[in-house]
This record gives sequence, C-alpha cells and structure tokens, in this order.
Amino acid sequence: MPSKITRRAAAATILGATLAPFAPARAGKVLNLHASGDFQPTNVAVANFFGDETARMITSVVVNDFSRSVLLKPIEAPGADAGNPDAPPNLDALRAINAQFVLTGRAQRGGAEFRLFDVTTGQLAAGSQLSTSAGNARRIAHMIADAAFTRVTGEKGFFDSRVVFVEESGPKDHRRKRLAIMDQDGANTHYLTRGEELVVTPRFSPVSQEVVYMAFPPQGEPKVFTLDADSGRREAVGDFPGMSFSPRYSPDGARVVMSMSEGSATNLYSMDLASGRTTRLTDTAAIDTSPCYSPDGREIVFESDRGGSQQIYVMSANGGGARRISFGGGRYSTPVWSPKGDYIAFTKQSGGSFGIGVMKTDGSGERILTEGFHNEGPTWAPNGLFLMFFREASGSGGPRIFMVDVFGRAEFPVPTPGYASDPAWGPLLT
Amino acid sequence: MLTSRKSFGFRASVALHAGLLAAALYAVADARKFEDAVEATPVEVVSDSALNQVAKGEKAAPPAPKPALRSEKAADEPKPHSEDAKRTVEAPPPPLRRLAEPSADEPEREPPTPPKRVAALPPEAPPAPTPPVRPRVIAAPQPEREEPKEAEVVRPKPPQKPKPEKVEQPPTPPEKPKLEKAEQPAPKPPEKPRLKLDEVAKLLQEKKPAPAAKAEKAEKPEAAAKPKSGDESAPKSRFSAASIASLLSHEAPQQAASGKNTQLASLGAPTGLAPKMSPSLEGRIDALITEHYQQCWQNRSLTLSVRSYVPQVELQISRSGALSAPPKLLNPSSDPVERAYAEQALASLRACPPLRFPQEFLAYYDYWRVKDLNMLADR
Repeated sequence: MPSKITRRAAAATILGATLAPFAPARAGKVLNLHASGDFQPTNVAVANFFGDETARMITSVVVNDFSRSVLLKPIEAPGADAGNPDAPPNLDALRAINAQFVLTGRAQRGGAEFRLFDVTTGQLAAGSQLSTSAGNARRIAHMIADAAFTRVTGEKGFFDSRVVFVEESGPKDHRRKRLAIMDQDGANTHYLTRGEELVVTPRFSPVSQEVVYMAFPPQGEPKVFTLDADSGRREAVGDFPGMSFSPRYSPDGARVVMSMSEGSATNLYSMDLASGRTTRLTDTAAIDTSPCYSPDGREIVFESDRGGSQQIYVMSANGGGARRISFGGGRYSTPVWSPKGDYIAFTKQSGGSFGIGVMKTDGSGERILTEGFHNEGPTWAPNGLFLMFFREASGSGGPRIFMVDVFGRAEFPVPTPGYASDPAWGPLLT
Repeated sequence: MLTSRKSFGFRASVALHAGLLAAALYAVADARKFEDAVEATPVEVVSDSALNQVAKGEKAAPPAPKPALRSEKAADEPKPHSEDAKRTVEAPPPPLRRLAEPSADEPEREPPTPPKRVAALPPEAPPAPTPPVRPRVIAAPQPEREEPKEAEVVRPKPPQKPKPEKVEQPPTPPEKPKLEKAEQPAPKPPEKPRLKLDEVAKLLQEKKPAPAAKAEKAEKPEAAAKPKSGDESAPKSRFSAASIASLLSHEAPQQAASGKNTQLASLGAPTGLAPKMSPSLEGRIDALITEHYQQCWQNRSLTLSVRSYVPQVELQISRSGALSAPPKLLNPSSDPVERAYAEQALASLRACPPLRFPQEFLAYYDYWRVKDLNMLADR
C-alpha cells in the first residue's frame, strides 16, 4: 500500500537523520594495523609449583601440555619464589623476559591450587582449587592447563581428554591389533582388548567413554561392537546379514551410522542403539563408507565413489540430497566433521603421497596440513583446533600417531608403547 | 483498515520517539567531553584607512601623553569647515611683506589681511568621536588563509607576509608624518597611520588586544578581551624610526614578546587548535603512527573464526610519543575468543615503545593526540 510504504520510509529517514548527529565524534580517520611478522605464540611463564613431588609432576605435565598447544609457549618464571601462589608475582622481572602471563601454584597429594596472572595489567586472570583421589595428579595438571589455555585463548581446552587407538605389534604379515586407550599426551596407556581378534576403526562416543569399533572375530563375519572404556563391557551393535564397518556415533550418542555391504555395493545405515531399529540412508550401486555426523546432527559427510572416484559428499542425516564437496585433483577419503562445525578434515591421495587436510563444509578453502608417504585417518580434538592421524613412513616397521594444529603450524609425535594407528580422540573428561 | 492504519501509525510514532530518546541518552552518555577551548592570540592587521581612523581618536579619550606628533585638538571640536574658522588654530603671524615705499600721497593702508589659512580640518568624513570607519581587524589565522600550504613548511616563523602588505601602505619616511600631522590630520595622509602604527605595534608586542580594543572602540566588538586604551598602555619609549622600521619588518611581535606566550600567533597556543593541515601531511603522520604500532602487533590470530572480529582501539598519545592513557577497546565482545583476541591487541600496544615524532609534527599535536586503530589479524 502506498501510504504504508511512505510512512515507513519516512519513519526510517527521520530516524536516521535524527540519530546521525548523535553519533559520537571519534578521533578522525581510523588507521588499519595489520599484524606483522610470523605467528608468535603467547608467552606463559610457568613457575615451579610449591609442594612435594606431586607439585613437581604437575609442573612438568603443564609445561608439556603448553609446549604442544602451539598457541601457548611455556617459559621459565624467574626467581626461586616465583611459584608461591600467596605472593604477588614480580611483574618487572616477568616483563623483562617478555612474559604475558604467569602461572603459579601449590600442589600436594590429593589436590592443588593455581593462579594465572596477566603480566601486562598485573591482574589475576584465573585461579582455582582442585582436589582428586591420590594418583590422579596428572588429570589435575591437565585441568590446570585447560583452564589457563581457555583464559588466554578464549577457546576450549583439550588437555584433559583421552585417545583410543589400535596398538599394533608383531610381524607385518601376522600383525596383532588390539584396542588401547591413553591420555592425549601419550601417558597412561592401557588396553581394552586382549588381541584375540583384529580390531579396526575405533570411534569415541561424543558424550560418554564408550567406544564403537569393528572387530574381526576368529569365526564369523566382522561386526560392530560398543565397548565401555572404563568398565570394559562390550556389546554387538545389531546382527546384520552382511559386513558392517566404519561405525560412528551421532552427536547425542543415541545412534550409530555405519556402512553395510550388500553384494558389490555398500550403503549407509543408521541404527538406534536403544531400539535397534535401522534406517537405510543411501541406496546406490556405489561404495559409500566412512560416514560422520555434523555436530548438530543434521547432516552426514561420507566418502563415495558414485562419481567414478573416491570423493566426499554431504547429505541430510535422514538420507537423500547428497552433494559432492571435494573437487581437487586426487582421491578423498575418511572425512571427519570438526566439533566446531566449521571444517571437515580428510585424507587425500594425490601424486603418490597421502596428505591430511581440511576444507570448509561447502568444500571451499581446502588446505593440506601435512603430507608424506602414508598419512591417514584424521580425528579431531574436542576443541576443533587440533588433529591426530597416523603415519607410516617408508621403510619403517609400522605406523605412529602424530598431532597437528588446524593451521598447519606445528606437528608433534604422540608417544605410544608400540606401533599405533586409527586414533580416535574422545571428549573432554571435565 | 483505517483503524489498523491509525493504530500502526500510533505504534510507529511511539516506537520512533522511544528510539530517539534512547539514542539521545546513549549518545550523551557516550559523548566525549569537549576539550576546553584555548583562546588564541589575536593578531590584527590594520589597514591604512583603519589606522587613519584610529589616529583620529575620540572625543572622550584622555589626551595621550607622548606623541608630540598627535594632532591633539584637531578632532576635539568638529566644526564644519570654514575659511573663517580660525579659532581652533592659532593663525600664524602674517608673513612679512614688502610694502611699497609709502608715499606722501598714498593713504595709509590697512595692514594686509593675513593669508587665509586653512584651519585644521575637522574630521570631515567621520566625526571623530564616533568614527564610522571600522578599522579592519583581521584575526590571527590570516597567515593560514593566505598560504595554507606553506604553513606546514615554514612554521614556526612570524607571520610576516600579511602584515607587511597592510602596514606598509603608508610607507613614507618618518619625518613626513610629523609635518603632515600638524597640518592635516586627515584620514588619508599616511603620517597618522604611522603614529598609530607605532602604538599598534607596541600594543601587538605586548600581546594585549589594544589594537583590538581600539577596534572595539571603533565599534567592532572583537574577541580581544582587554579593551585597554592603547594610549594608556602605550609604550613609554618615544616614537622612533627604528621602531617603525622594526614594525614594518614584522619583527616587533617577536622582539617584544612578553614571555608569556612564546608561540607565534600563526601557531596558536600550545594546546590550541592545530593549524590547518594538508592531506599529504596528514598522510605522513598517519603512516608514521601505523608503521610504528604495526611492528608491535604480532601475528597471534588464535582461530580462523576470529577474523570476522576486528578490535578497534583508541590510543591517547602524549607529546613525548608515549601513551598518555592505557589503550581503550572501543568494541568489546562478549565472545571469549574475541575477548582474548582483543586482549592480545591491547597488550601488544601497551608493550610498544614510545613513538618519536619529528619536530615538524609537534605543531599538529591536536591531530595525532588521539587515534583510533583497527587491529587486523594479518594480510
């Protein structure tokens, strides 16, 4: 209606004209500063925690965590009394060594407390007191590191988490593979299966300490199982006529999506863990595998050769509407959706090498983070800033697990007792 | 329909008024306090005609002590010009005349009538007491007006150019004023301006708005505060050619600087408004600031998603180049990642060493005293 349009337009014009003079006057033109130089992590001075050997162990774990965080750089706090949480930090000395934050604390068996100070302002940035059972001091150290990481970067931490993987041993032609679990820094490794059956593709539940994986029993068809990492209890996920593999949990942990072979084709199915009801998601003559839910549970990314070569597709979580998102040269596989929802990690085989990369959810912005003879199977850290994968170097006896940040700035080996593959990063324990 | 339109209009009106009120409150609360205005030192350039008028003085003005040159009474009694107006001026003695030999035959003659002497002409054009003439008072920025571009190059030097053009108009040598003044206290003759120039120069030297006072008396109420009579505060020294010469050379303001304000009028007070700047000069200053603080702004972009947020920071810089206040974040965010990113930006600016400004930029302190920066992640 003409009068309505006129009225609204007039109101908008009057409002704008009236508000414009009230805009506070600023200091002339705004200057644009672009960050210069190479990336620089934030310097965090870590003082020796006061206390007994527990304090020394906590200090050591925190320093190690920071050194693998890429974004934080641990430096030694000056002064013998630097770690005293009851004393104010020596800001002048800290500024002299270019520290931006300083971490102090006290620890003993069963508990610890820490203080994080902003050296620039002299203000207390974070602090807390933690208690736990004896022998669990490493977790306290990881929790302290997470608190400092979050305060400095604003991002969720990832130190207090675990990784399940496949531990490999024995000769290559007769390899024994068993399920193992460790802290994200490689400590506290223990085994979930005895090695009687071959296990592959373990995946952590996003909401619990359950693991779903595929096992090849000595007799019978390979099957998907769920395993409670704390209790060791195991259950088979359904009883299907064909082979099922590549299982992965939904974000709420209530469903599992997996591949099931049907003759020459392999299609995707989802199964409700409570009811056991399955739903067919794809129905093609191609091989669809390696499904992964988006963090909001609305979509599924998967690998398919329906177009003639292995590429990455995204479809609705209910099936249908699959669209291709990978278009670079080479073959794409093992897609994994970031917990933050912004990126999809993948394995890319091209020109005889294997690379681990990330791309945006629409397929744009593809970046290869690391490349080599054989890199495969990325898994995301709980905060979506780091990836673990396994690498088998040419001529080596077996694969090893490595960690890389999402910017591709740094790469670290993850220590394991033996050869290791198929890492699956679990959620934060806190 | 009509009812719905009316109700819509009412609601829209209420909403609009509420929005205006909220915006006004916000703007007022957020508005920065205005800096106290600093009074600039006025500089007057007086034209010759103006000087003429000033020279005429006013009826009620007390007689000036010094200038012997002044035609003190010339304007006291404005009378219409008349050939017979002898009363205001003492008629000179009659000139000697050679008389013819008196013959016995000739009758005695009356002594010859003294030659007509033109009395001191009353201020014909303007009745002096209320001089209609307005001495032009040109404010200090005249030098800027005339050569805005050169200001950036030449300063701080006396604003010579405008003054000489005005003052030099009655250029004749000093002696003339003496004579002419006595005879013709008319507005035109340059001598009168000379006399007043001396006063004006001395007044300017003292940095008091005496010329402005005169100008005010001449009717233009100028900003100059103290309407002291220039006569009263007139310098004690006698009129001299040297003083006129120095005035004409425009060194007088500098020489006679009272010491209170060593800054030249063209530069304004130290904390006053900066002289007008050219775009190129602004660009040079901006580039200097950008380059300096950019070196301190390290690439610490934490996550890819934070690039949509650009912390905007206000810097307050002292004359020494150090920060006069902690950097202030103008667009804080509640998102923890963006907040951490902004903290990094502020920390990098705090840790930056002071910026050393070249001497030539110090005069434009008001331009670079407060600067806003966009802290972009990287190129």
